[in-house]
Amino acid sequence: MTIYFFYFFSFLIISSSILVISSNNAVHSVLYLIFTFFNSAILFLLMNAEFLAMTIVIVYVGAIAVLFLFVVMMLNITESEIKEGFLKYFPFGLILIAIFISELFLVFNFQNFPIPENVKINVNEAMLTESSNTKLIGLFLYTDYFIIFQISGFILLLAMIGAIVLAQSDERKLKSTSSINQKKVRKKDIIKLN
Amino acid sequence: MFFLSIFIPLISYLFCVIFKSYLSGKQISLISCGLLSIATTLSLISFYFFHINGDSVVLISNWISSGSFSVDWSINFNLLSCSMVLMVNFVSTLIHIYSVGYMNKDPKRSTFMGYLGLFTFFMLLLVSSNNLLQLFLGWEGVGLTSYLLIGFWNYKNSANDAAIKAFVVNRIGDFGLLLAIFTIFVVFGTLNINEIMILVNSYSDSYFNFLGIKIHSITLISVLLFIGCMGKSAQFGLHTWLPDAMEGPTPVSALIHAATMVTAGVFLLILMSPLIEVSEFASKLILIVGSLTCIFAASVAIFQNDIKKIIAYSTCSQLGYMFMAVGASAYSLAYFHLISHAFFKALLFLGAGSVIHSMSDEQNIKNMGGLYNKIPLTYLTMIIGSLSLIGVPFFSGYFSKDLILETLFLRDSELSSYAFLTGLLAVLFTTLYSLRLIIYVFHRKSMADEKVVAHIHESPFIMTFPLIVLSIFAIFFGMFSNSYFIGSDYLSVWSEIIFVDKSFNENFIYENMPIFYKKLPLIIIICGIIISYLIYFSFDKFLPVIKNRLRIVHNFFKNKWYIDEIYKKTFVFLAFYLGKGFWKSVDRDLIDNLGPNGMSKFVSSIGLIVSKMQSGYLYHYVLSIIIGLTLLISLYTYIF
Amino acid sequence: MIYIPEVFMSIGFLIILIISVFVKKNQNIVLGYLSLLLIFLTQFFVLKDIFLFEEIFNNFFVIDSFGSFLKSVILICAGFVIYFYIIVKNDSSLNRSEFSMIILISIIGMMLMVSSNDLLSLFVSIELQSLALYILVSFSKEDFNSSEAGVKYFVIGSLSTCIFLFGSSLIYGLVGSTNFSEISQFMSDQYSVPLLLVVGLIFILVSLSLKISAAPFHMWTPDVYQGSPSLVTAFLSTAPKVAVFGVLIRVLVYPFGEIIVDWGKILVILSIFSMLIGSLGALRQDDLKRLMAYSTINHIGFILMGLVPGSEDGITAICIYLIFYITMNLGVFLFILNMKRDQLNVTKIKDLSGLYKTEPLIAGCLALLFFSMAGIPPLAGFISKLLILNIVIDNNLFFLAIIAVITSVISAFYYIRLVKSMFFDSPTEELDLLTNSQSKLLLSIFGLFNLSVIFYPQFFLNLCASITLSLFALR
Repeated sequence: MTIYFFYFFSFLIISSSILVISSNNAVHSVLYLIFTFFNSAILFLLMNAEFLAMTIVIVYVGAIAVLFLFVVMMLNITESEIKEGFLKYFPFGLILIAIFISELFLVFNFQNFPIPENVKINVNEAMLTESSNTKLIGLFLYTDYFIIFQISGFILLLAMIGAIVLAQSDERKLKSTSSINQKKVRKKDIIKLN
Repeated sequence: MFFLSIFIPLISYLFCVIFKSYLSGKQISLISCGLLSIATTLSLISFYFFHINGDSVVLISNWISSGSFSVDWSINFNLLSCSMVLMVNFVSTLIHIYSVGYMNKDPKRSTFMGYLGLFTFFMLLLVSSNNLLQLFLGWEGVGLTSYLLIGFWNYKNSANDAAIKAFVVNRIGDFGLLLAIFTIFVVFGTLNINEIMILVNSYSDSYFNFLGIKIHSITLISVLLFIGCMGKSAQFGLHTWLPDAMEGPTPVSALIHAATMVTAGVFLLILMSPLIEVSEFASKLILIVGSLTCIFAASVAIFQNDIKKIIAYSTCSQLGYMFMAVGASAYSLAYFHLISHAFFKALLFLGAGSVIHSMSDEQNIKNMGGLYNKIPLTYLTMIIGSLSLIGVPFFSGYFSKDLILETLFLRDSELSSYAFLTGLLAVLFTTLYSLRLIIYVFHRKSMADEKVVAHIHESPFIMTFPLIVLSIFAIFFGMFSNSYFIGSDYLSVWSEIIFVDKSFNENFIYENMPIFYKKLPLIIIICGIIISYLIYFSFDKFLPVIKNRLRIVHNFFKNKWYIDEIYKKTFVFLAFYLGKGFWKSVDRDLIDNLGPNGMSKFVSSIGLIVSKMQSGYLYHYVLSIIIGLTLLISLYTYIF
Repeated sequence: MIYIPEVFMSIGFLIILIISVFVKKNQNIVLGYLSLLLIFLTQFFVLKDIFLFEEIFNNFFVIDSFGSFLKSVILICAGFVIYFYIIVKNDSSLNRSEFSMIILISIIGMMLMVSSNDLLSLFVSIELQSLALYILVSFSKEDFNSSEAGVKYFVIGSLSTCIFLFGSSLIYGLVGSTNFSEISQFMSDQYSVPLLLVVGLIFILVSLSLKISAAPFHMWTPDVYQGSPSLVTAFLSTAPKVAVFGVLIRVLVYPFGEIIVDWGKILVILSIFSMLIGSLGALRQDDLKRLMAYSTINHIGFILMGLVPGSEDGITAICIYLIFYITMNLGVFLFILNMKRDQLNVTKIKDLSGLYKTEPLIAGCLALLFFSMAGIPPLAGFISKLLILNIVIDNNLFFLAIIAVITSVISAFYYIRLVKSMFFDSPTEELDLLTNSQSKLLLSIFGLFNLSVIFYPQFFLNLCASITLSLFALR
């Protein structure tokens, strides 16, 4: 039963992802993106990973996608014009995708996954002993995996610094001319007055 | 000490080059003269105290070490190298001093002094080397500096041509030497001269297989060595560069083309004498070529008009004597003649330089005459040099040349008898051309312009001083040192270094030869003096008549046996023709278009394509990545 | 645990970050010096334990001499870059306190990368350094090119991340662990290698190739190199390459050493493509930085070639190549940093013309560096190329050697064209160059180093050989 659900939601993910990149309206794209996130959350739910599912909904849908939506709405992009080369590249892309997917099929058919034995975290066992996987994740994250957690923290710190660097505007609000910009002016850019 | 005496000339060169623009020409010249005299003094001291140290090898450092091939920077310290270093340094110093006067007006005189120093260093490196590779370095080095010095007055086209000719002809010889070195390494597995000398006897029966032909390896080596020496010592066939090389300044001719570099070939053969002694064929070949050169050059010298060319051909002829001595296994005599020749030939060249200097750069002897009372000192030294060259008794040349002739006579083989006769004929010719030169330059009525005559003056002391020193050596050297080169007293000393024929090295053998043959050279010289006096002085009116009668013979000799013309018609023409053909059709049309040009065009067009691929669009880049990924995976899943 | 260089560095970084708040706006140089000091101290900790072997942090990371050596090299690169930052003040847009901070944090990422012993920790540390590099590339806000390069680099980098994650997930699915030693264990237990594992490895390889800009995954390189500020390009072309090469060597040799037959072929393809594109692409370039990008691609191809046999000698040669490559690149970029005309940074090749007449010393050193890049004996570049070619030929990969030599010849063309332009072309307009003597000195040191290596190559050979030994002793 679960497997049919899996295929159903996977299909929804793929089709909504395609819609994200093919829709003309940026707002629609973001909405499709949110739909994709929802579906992937459902995939996690199917695997009894309710904490991850909730995290996806909260973080991606609640924070990132909404932020996207705001940005898109503020920028006021209504109809995008990026589809000019679409037909030109489409057949080629199709062939490429066909090859890629056929390869993946080949590879996956060739191989049935064995149940790994020496897994670091035996999920099934953990599920039996501990009732809540939220607790389990916390347990692993703060003990065995703490260094990964720390490095992720560094990444977030860096992201913050980066955002500041890129977004902070220079304090040059005086009405002075930049010598560099003056040097860069070329003859053809100059407006003739006579 | 010995080490320093070799490297001081190099220091002199570096000094001249570095301080060229800071110091005046005069200062540079004086300092380089001073350095050279120090070098001479040092080599004199090390020669004087030679018997204390004895033979030794001074190892400087390792040079090349690759597998079994190992060559060191090292200096051989033995009687041969020591005396040779002394001679080279001595002559070089005198010529340095002479050049100070001779090149007085030349704007590039400091460069000139530098080149002289560099030449001296390479020559010393050559003679003191302990292995053949280092020797070859010196060999090529003297070739290079010779090229630079011949073409020193590079505003003259003829000087450039002569320099190129000297270089190219020498390359032919060098090629032989290089092959000889390769062969020696293949046969002996070493390039160390001392080791080769030890190994010679055990390899005397080894054969070399080349394209299925068995060749006696040591004969091959000796012949190749000899070809190398032929180039450097201007033996018949490869001699053409030497007369042309007289385009260089006269001190250069004296140093390089009389005293030192041209004798390098003889020196090498003396050095490798145990090797050559094993191969009878090589000895014979050397004897033949030597006598041919001797008679050829002497005969040509009679008909030349350029004062320096006469002396150049004379050098060629004297080198022939040395090779004859080598061919007759009298290596110590060859060396004796080498040194005494260095003195009197340097003297002659410097004297000629002095004449040219006083005659305002006139070189044709037909335009000179009557100089004997105008430049008496030069006249005197020229007379001494010529007498020594001719071999008048008790001059240096007499001792060395007569011993060679006597050895040739005493060798009881047909070939050496012919060589003896050739040598005697060459003595006659030598007398003729020497006296012709003296008579034409000094005694006949002056043929020069009034202007030039008015300008004639004796050279300054700085130029005559070397002349005086050298004439002292030209007179007395042979007298005092002949016992070092012949006789049993020094047999043991020489036999350690070079091959010495023990049976021939006793004084009594020479003393017991028939008195007629012993005095034959002297008789010939006297005849020669009389003949030349008659034709060139008393009856010189008949000369044109004789010339006209024997036009063909005269032209034959005048044109140097047509050797240059033959070369021009055959090798040079062929080379030019082939070269032009290859250049036009093969190189320019075929190779250039398909090769470099075509290839570079092709590569460049691909470069353009690759650059064009860089469109700058992000989605192209991403696409390329996806394509690459897919390709790799599909390669993997389908092909590998 | 504080003595572990990465931990020490992180703590030091945080301290400097706090200090930076109190530093006045126009005194950012202080931070540069502090960073330099921190790098210096960390270098000390790295070298102290260079022969130590230890698995740390629950086997997520490993300290061994190979990793320590690469860390040391990375620190030297970064030290030089920060020193350049201090001495050459050409780019006003870089004049912010965050610049040296971000360099520091990216070094932390790189150091973590080379010592990772797990796909998960590897992924996180790659992300750390990549994110830092994205920011660095787009640092110059005034310059449109810089932002464009940043966007391109970011998108390509994200793609690389996706590919890496996909590959790791395949491997995790099969092995059940992401730890290198367990993957290695799995491989040796396996009878025949599952195809899926190889495909997973290909994904990881492609992702790493994107980072080292091996063709055909090189497309972003010229644009990013050209667009980013010169100082960042200098950093970009040295330290991350070393780090990613360290990762590449560790991943391929240690966990996947058993399937050398499989990844060897992929490396052959990558290196052939890189050498060809690196040499051909540069022929028609007129921008020095863009040309350096292609030059990097060419060098990367050469280095990849040494990894094909997966042998100890090969990796030794790679280490030596990396050291020499860094010195050449840093030298050239130090010069590019100083290229200025009328207070405007210029990077065109024709700006070089006639340099010899105005600055003979600089031109000579630069010529030495270019000749070294072209691999002309007896310079350092020649030695490294010789070593790599030696290994390739020893393993009977003759076609690879032939292609390498041909591409070297082609690439020699454009290096020598630069030298020709410096020495023989008449100058168009004079550059106002190298006003500070420190740059001159440093450039001459780089040139001299490249020239003098021929006298002591054995030192580097012995050093790198002993370093490489640790990588193989692990198994």
